[in-house]
Amino acid sequence: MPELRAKIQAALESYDGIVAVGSDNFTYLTGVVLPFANNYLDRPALIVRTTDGQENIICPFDWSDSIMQQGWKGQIRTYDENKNSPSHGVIQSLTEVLSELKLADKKLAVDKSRVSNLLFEGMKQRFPRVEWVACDEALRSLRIEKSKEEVDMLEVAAKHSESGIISALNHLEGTVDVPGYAISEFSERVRVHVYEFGGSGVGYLATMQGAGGQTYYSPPLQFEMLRPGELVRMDVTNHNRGYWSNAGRMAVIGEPSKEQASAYEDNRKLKEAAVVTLVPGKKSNGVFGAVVAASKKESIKFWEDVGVGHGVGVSDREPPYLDHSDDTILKPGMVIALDIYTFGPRNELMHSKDTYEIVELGCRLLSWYRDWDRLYAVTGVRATH
Amino acid sequence: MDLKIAEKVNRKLAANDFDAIVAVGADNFQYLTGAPLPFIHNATDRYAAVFWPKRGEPECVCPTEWESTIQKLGRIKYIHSYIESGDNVKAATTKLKEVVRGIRSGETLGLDMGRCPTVLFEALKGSLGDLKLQSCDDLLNELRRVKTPEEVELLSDIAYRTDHGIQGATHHIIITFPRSEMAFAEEIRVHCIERGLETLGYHQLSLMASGENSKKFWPYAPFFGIGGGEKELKEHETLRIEMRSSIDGYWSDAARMVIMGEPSPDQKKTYEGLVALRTVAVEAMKPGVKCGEIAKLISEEAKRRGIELIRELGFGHGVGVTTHEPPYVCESDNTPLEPGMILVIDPVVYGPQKEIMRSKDTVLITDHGCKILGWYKDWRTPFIPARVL
Repeated sequence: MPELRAKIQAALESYDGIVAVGSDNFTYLTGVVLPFANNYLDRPALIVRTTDGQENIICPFDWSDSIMQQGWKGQIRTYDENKNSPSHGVIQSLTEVLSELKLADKKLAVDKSRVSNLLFEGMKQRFPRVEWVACDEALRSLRIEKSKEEVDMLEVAAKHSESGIISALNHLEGTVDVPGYAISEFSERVRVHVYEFGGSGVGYLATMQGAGGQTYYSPPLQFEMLRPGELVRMDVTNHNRGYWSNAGRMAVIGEPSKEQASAYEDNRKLKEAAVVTLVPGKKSNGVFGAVVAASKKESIKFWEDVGVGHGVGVSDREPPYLDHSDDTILKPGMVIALDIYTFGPRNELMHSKDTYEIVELGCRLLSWYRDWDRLYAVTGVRATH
Repeated sequence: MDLKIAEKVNRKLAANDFDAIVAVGADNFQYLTGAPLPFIHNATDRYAAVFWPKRGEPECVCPTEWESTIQKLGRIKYIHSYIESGDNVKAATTKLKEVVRGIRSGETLGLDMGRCPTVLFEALKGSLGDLKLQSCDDLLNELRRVKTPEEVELLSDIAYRTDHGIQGATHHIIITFPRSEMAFAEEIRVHCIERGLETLGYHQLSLMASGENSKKFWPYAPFFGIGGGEKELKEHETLRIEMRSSIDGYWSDAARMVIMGEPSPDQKKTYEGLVALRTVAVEAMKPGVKCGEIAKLISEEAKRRGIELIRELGFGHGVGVTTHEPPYVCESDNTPLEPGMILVIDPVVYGPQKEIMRSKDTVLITDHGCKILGWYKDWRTPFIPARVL
């Protein structure tokens, strides 16, 4: 992504170098995705980057082949987890890299919102002459407005989510009258279809039905079957080479009741009120305010405390946040997952998340596939061939 | 299932200098609350914390969105949620300050510094007055690395189901009926689901790497955990299968080898080498022996047999609420083994064609030795699929 690389280069010129530890920042700065990095809390990977563009990745031995496969042109230094503990291994490798790059007495930026205090203290002790400065705000500013290439990546990711959910729902048609479709199998089908349509990885994946959907997340009981008459919430996050989609959709097993259809329509109305405010110049909390106002006007209750959306990019939830407090001004290039939770007849949490790019005159829907204005009803009848 | 964690934490705290601990790491949070949150590791801008005092009930702090989930799935009665804002550090710190109010001036508060992001640490330090803030990483490690009998039962069950899932999938491999790696990777996940394992979590992965692909740890990057693409399994190749799976937030970490046909002498020799490394480890693992000593034995056995061992990764690790945790079977870890520890023994070697070969075994340290958990098949030999339909 040459446009993005140039943008990063220009933005980080005020430091002699940067050391980024967060896996999201790592992907943003390198273009490389690491395998499930956040789940390996004791095995950090770092990117060290100088102002003049020299780059050096420090990582566990078994991640180096995946980095090379992704076209990485910079250096890679792996640390030895046999001779050292991972934290000592990282510090040892960092010592070598900073010495080689002549950065051991310079002004270095670090993502303090990501680096653990233990690791940071170790870095400060080992490099007493380095002036460490936080670069979280700089990275936030960089990441919040996407380049054209990034928006393209995010659009594809959003479509993968849609394809995953819709394809899984299509498999569900015709099986409702034949008990044998477990929730876990349904979730797995979402995953498989995301992959089949080209997705690089699935993150959070959950399907909740009925009362199980009253909480944000609820794992299914073992071998729990989908049941006719229930509202089903399908949530999935997935990435396209490190760029994430964060999706959630609703369906009902069988024809919806009047109350279910009405509850879904309420959600749509609030979304409609939000979408017209997704325009450059509007503040993030202004979008939230528009939903609050519509909620009052239409007497539709929504889950106000959790806001109405957030950005997506190299993570599945990032600034700007469409909540009561975030006064970030929307600008072209921002990509937003609009996420309004309302309540179903049994107090089920309902949402229908859409991803939008903020453009010059408003917003553009990236997550199109079908018209989600009506609740998806799984009504297929089993046919035998 | 009540894993009896609370009693254990209370006992540990009673015998310790900390007046309370605060844990913010995703793994520590799950361990202490008992709430498996499959999204928590990636929620890098959202902070959740457990406050566990020496006297009184544990409490936790979390974003509003997670509150009902933690209440439903976890064991903590008192949950304090904060409304998120653009500054979650401030929101979480403010709430935590309220929660720790019972700790008096000059008392010692433990914090998992190995997990706590620096910005959160600095905010906490600034707002907690003259409380002494000290690292409690060692205490949490000690707690987590020796499992309760209930945790042992759960981890044993997960290891067994995972091995069974892998076996279920491998029985679908027919040497003369080629199918793609991706299709078989999917078979593994499906067979694990059929055996009651969950499909949650960012690294709920299955991986199948054969032939040239097996020379890489992560073929098809950045398509992780799905088994890659169209490459078909071929006769005579070695095939490495990996699967990580969970129940209730506890994990298995499995890998097994398949040989596509009668093993060649070189393949046989390499696999026998893997078995020998496992044997030397298992025979030596007993309470009191240090992890580093096991690592040295594996390393020396490899040298003696001329096995090309990959040393940089160490040779195993603990497993629990994460797939990879202390203690580590590596030369630098001097942790003595104790009954109740569960480790994944994982020496990784190169095969005759430079394939990466591993056969991970989950092992429980018992009073007098150790016990391999979860073998559905006797893995002293690799799996060899049927030849014809």
